[in-house]
Amino acid sequence: MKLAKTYGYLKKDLDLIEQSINKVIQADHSVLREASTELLKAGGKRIRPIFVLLSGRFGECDIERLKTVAVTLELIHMATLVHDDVIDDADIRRSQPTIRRLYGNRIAMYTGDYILARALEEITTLNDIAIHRILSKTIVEVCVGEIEQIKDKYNYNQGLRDYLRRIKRKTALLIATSCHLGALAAGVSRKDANRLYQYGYYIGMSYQIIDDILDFTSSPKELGKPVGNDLLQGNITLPVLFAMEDESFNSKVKNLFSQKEEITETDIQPILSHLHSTNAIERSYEMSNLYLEKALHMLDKTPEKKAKSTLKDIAKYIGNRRS
Amino acid sequence: MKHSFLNKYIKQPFVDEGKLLILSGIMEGTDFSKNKKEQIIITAMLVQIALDTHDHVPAEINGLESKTEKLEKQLRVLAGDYYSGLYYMLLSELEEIDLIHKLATAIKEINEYKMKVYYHEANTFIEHLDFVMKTESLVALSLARYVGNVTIMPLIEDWMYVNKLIFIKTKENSIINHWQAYYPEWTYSSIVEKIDEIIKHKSQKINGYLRTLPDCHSLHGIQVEGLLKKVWHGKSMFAEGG
Repeated sequence: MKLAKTYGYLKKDLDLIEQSINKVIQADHSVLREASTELLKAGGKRIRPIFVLLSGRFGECDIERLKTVAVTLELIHMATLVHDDVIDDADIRRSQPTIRRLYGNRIAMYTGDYILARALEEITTLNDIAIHRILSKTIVEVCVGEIEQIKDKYNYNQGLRDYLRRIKRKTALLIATSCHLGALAAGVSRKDANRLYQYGYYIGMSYQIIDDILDFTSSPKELGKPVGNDLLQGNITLPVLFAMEDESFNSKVKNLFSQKEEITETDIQPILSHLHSTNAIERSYEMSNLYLEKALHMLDKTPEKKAKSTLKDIAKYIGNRRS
Repeated sequence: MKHSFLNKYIKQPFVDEGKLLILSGIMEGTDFSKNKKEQIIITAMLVQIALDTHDHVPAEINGLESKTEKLEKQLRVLAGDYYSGLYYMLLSELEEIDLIHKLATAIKEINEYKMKVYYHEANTFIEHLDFVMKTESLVALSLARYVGNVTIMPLIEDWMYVNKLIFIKTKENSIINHWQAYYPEWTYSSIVEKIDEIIKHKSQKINGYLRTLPDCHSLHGIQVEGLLKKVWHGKSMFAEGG
């Protein structure tokens, strides 16, 4: 199943959103304009605008309001990516050189700040206090999540709760907020808007768990980075947490994270082999599926709409994602 | 606004007393409650702190940075984003949507000016200084415009100019060498002389404004005069948080 096919009927609206983003990032300064435009051209799944549009279809579907929300969320996501590349010293994103690689850290900071400011200019054209309270809290939570992720690096004394809280802030919240705001902007009832929020939250959790699994099961070519990159960076993800229930695996991770030298790909090879000999990957998929089931369950209670069946398809697609 | 991990690894945000004073001056004479005035001043400071924090992210791509340097850089990026998020959240709680919009416009314009400053696009050194001063004053100016306190706007511009130049002279004078490299017709001493001349001229103008301000600004005027006197006596007028 091709995911894009399931929401093909949104193409016209998605094109409008794309045009609008392009218009919004046309800065006066040529480098600022180029940097932002290159980021846009590099593409992306536009998953947040898709969730905004689909959730909006449960209500009045005023495309201008939905477009404002969708553009804002995608801009916030873009701004985060530019700054994340500074944090990670990343040279490549979506097969393209990053802004920091092309122009340096300082310009990446200005570009991210500029894009975030444009996002706030856009969203404040909507005079709906609930939207601003939800979105602003989400932005703060996402930042706290990133700070916590850095804090938890190389910390082998963390548990499932730490991991789940981290991925909630890192991924699930912005997807949940996309669904929530799409619904609120379209005047969907609070009850259904909350259900769509929950759907987005569960989908986001499942999506991130699968991302974390793929970090161990995909090829370097598919990943665009080394296998086990999360471990290389000192991040403990769900498969590692499950595998750490095995004492000898647990000591290997503790030794790895206690070493003074930078962790290399060679260092993690024995750990990767050991992880694959456990049932950690299988259990991680099971947990991802649990979240997907919860997402689908949330949809059961929402009104029958074409968008509902698309949201179900997206959930199933995420569940089957293997690359 | 406190986050223990941030506080452990990066310096507490720098709170510029001069900027704080001008922001409180802007809010004087408005109809907002005392609490709301304070909240709005805090949010405007958060915007400035967010921008300033990102200015301290190292500009160069340096593959040889130590673990601590890398951690500091990462937390500076995130701290700036966190303060931006807090400004949006606080103003959303206050239901000041239009002010969020106005401050976002100021941030957008400041980043445009920062690009011009970074790439040294000014035709003259004086124009370069003007660009720097825009990055300093736009937040306060947009707040003044929002609350309808337009009488204070000329004072804001001159005060921010004096405030920044004194900061450069006393705490960040390495920037003078940097300017000299880009504007070779200016020597180090001629830049210092120019800075002193601007400070003197702008301070006289500030004193002139203070005499024309409405009564509601009298306390604020006394505070500004106090700060100016401190400056002229060579004392530090800046407070480092924490």
